[in-house]
Amino acid sequence: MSHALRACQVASGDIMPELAPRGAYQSVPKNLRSEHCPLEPRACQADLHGPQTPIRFANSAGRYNPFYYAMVGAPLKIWPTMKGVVLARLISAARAAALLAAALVSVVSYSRYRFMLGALLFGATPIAINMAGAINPSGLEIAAGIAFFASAIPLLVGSAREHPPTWLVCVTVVSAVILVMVRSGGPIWLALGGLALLLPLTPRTVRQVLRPVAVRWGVLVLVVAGIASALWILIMKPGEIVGVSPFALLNRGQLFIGELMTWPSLTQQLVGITGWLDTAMWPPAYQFWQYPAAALLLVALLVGSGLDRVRLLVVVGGTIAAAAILDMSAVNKVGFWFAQGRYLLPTLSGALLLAAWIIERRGAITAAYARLSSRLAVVVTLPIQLHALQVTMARYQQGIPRSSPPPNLSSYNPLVGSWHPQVGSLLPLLCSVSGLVLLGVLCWRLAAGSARPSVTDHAEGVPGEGSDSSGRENLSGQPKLSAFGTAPAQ
Amino acid sequence: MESLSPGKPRKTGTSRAENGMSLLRLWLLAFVGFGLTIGAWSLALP
Repeated sequence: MSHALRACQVASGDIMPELAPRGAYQSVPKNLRSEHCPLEPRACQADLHGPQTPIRFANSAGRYNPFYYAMVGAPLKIWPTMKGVVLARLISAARAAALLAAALVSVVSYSRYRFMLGALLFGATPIAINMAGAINPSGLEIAAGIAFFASAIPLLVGSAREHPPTWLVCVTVVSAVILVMVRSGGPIWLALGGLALLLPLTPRTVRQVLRPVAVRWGVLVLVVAGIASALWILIMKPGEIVGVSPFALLNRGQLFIGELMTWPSLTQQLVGITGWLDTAMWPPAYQFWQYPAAALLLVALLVGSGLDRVRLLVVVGGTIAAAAILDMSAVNKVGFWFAQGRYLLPTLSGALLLAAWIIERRGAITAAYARLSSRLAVVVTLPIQLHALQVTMARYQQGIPRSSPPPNLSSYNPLVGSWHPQVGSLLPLLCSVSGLVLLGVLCWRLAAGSARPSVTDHAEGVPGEGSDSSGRENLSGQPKLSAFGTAPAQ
Repeated sequence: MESLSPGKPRKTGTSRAENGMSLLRLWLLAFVGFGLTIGAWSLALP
């Protein structure tokens, strides 16, 4: 709830609050404060029905950039109850959905065989969808990361570089601005993504990218946003974690080993440990998600050029290194490993799109296999999305299943329990099923239109069709893609 | 068969409009799909 409180505070005009040792001080309606219910159903707490008298306290999210919170805070200011919370969440959900939809349009427009469609579905993991539906900047950040890579790949290194349409530039700039503004780690993720896609970073490369007027305006907007974000970070220090560690200080070796030991958990969290970081899906769901994603990266490394490999290394290696360094630098202050898998998703999800693009560009996949892969992604990812919601709802409504007596089927029934969402338990499930079916049908049909022999986005590595002297693709044309619904079934 | 060249300047205003409408329709469908999927979480969370 710390994010909801920050949103309420920003909507009240208290944008730069007085700093506290942990976070910043703020005054919000007392009923908005709620605590977690470890192991128990959400019924352990009243549903924000208490008195709305203001109280002043130190909010751990109080220093965060107001950019995200200003977008979702108004309903909380007007209705500091569950109604306001749900409305604020729906605003947040709509913004993330808009970005993911823009990413899909970009992928469909520029992915040679629409192989990137499957990568998009694997990039939007259950925890990304979960966070996007909550009051938390993390979900918007991940959606922005996915939209940034989906649009920046064709814009900076793909077939749209010479004559980019305005909408593509807009998607890239908007997603980049959101990425750089919503969380303090955003500038790092944007720098990694931008650097990877601009390699080799020569004056000629920069001139080529900046040739279209729309791109120059976009860069100007991004620079202003970057300066604003940097000033906020310098003044408010949102990344400063201050606490008293209950442990003895760890030396460098212990930090390194300890960090390594967090990764089995982090890789699960990339897919989705939901609830209050205490709710897991059926274990094979993680493997069904992780193995194809890892295979995508490995195949891209295998078939990619040297430059492709460096790009992937910058994005994936840079993300892991940055997260590990930040985590190790904080643990002696706060006494726990604070990094969560979702923090890494803005760039790691983008890396999947980059990998799919590399595989397509190197001609390492045929149209038929690309179509099959995208449809396989639909079959694998969408049911797991529903499963994540089901186990999470069961957790909130019934608590964590105990080992004794052993859980049975009803322990995972999302329709029963001592607590229910305000709209009931059936409506969220119906919404999820409707959305997933629509996405499934959409992606299935789009995959059918993916094999287009008229695509002129030449593969790299083919004599006469590869890179120019700067190492960038020398593209002579644009993809000819069919409109949705009019492409012939394959 | 209708075709799109999203990255290439089109010759006529009509084809640009068709192109834009197809992309907009696709975006709207995807927006509703993602919106319902994400919105379900908004309704279900405590």
